Amino acid sequence: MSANRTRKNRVDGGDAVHLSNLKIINGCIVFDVCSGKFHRVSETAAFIINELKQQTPASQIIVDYSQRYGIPRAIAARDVELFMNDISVTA
Amino acid sequence: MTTIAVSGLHRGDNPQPGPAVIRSIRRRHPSVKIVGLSYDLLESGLFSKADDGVDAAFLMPFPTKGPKALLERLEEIDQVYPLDIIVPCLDSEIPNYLDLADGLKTRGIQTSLLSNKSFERRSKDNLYQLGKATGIRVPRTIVASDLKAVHKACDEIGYPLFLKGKQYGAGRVTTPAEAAHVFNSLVTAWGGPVIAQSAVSGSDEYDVVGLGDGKGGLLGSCSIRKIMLTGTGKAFGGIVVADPDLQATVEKIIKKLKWWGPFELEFVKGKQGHELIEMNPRFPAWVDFPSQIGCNLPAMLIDMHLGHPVTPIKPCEPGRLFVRHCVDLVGDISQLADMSGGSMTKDTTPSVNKMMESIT
Repeated sequence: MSANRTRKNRVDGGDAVHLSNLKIINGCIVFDVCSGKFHRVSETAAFIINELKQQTPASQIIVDYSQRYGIPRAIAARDVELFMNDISVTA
Repeated sequence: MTTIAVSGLHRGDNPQPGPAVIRSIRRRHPSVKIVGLSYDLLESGLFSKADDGVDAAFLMPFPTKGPKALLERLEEIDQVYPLDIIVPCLDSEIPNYLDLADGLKTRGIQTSLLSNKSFERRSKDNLYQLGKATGIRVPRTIVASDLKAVHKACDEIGYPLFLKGKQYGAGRVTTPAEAAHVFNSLVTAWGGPVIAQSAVSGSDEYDVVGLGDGKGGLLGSCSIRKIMLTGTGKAFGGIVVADPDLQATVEKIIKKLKWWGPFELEFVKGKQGHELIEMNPRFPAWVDFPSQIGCNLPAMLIDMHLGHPVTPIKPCEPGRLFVRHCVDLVGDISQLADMSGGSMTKDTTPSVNKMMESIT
């Protein structure tokens, strides 16, 4: 799993979202400064997006996520994978 | 003291820019006198006692009366309230002011320095050609003078599409019957011809306000995505965006037109990116929003007129947003009585009273 690959879009209804354009506002809103679109996100989603913005490899995101929320790595891997399936990001 | 005349004072369901322009000007030039140029006794801005209100107001002949009638009225006003600058805020007024610009200048009154050529090149019926000349996507556009031509244009473009008045009004049509209805409504309200414009398949609308220096340069601009729309598609809320592609498009247009003064560019974002659907030769109704976040374009326009040095303004911060808020203004029947006589004023300078008597 790589943060650098383009995924089928679900977040913005048609356009690719570039990670560099995303800003996490107060940990609960993700704002695309280029398109002007914004979405309310959960704390865990914000955590993953922040990791993606730092170009953290997906395997490391799973490790960080597991540690941060004190959950088994397998569950963390499922959560991260499901979330990344649900959004479209282009690094 | 500088006296500035501003029009477009009605903040109704389709708000006009005047009060927003006045408020922006007063942010930097608090001591200016504002003269409102009004077409109706009930233009809401006449009743504002806040910083978007007027110091005096005068009834004006409709723009369809032409430049001569406008000049005569402005001369009457100038006798009692010597004008320094006029900021026209309605599309339909601009051609008259462009015609009069030189004559007004000799009378010591500054107004738009936009060229007729630039003005015409951005008109709805020429926008498609402008897009071709600049390499900017513009929805296909056909000008139609009668119903037969409208139906032909609709067939050529394909439904759905928009029918637009040359200066005001628009309606989305999906069938020939709707096309006939919208065509008749537009012609009755605004006259012909109408413009048939292909509908862009995209739900996101972007607006850009800016100020051109007349040499191809952009002195400042603010781009927003509309986040709330009125029933007629007007922005009721917007958020600042920082999109390099959109900015490059704006700069390309301004450079090509050598645009002088205020403008509003309207885009819809479709599958192929931003498509330009309109360019308006004036400030939009939301212009006081960027003024509040460091991009005061109306004040800069006044600086340009006054010959003050101006330097390009830095871009607005993305994520700043506005939401429009309607309030109820209190007036008095005596204000209607004053305005029905042709003018009203907050002070009681004798010359104004004299003029009011002469009008009534």
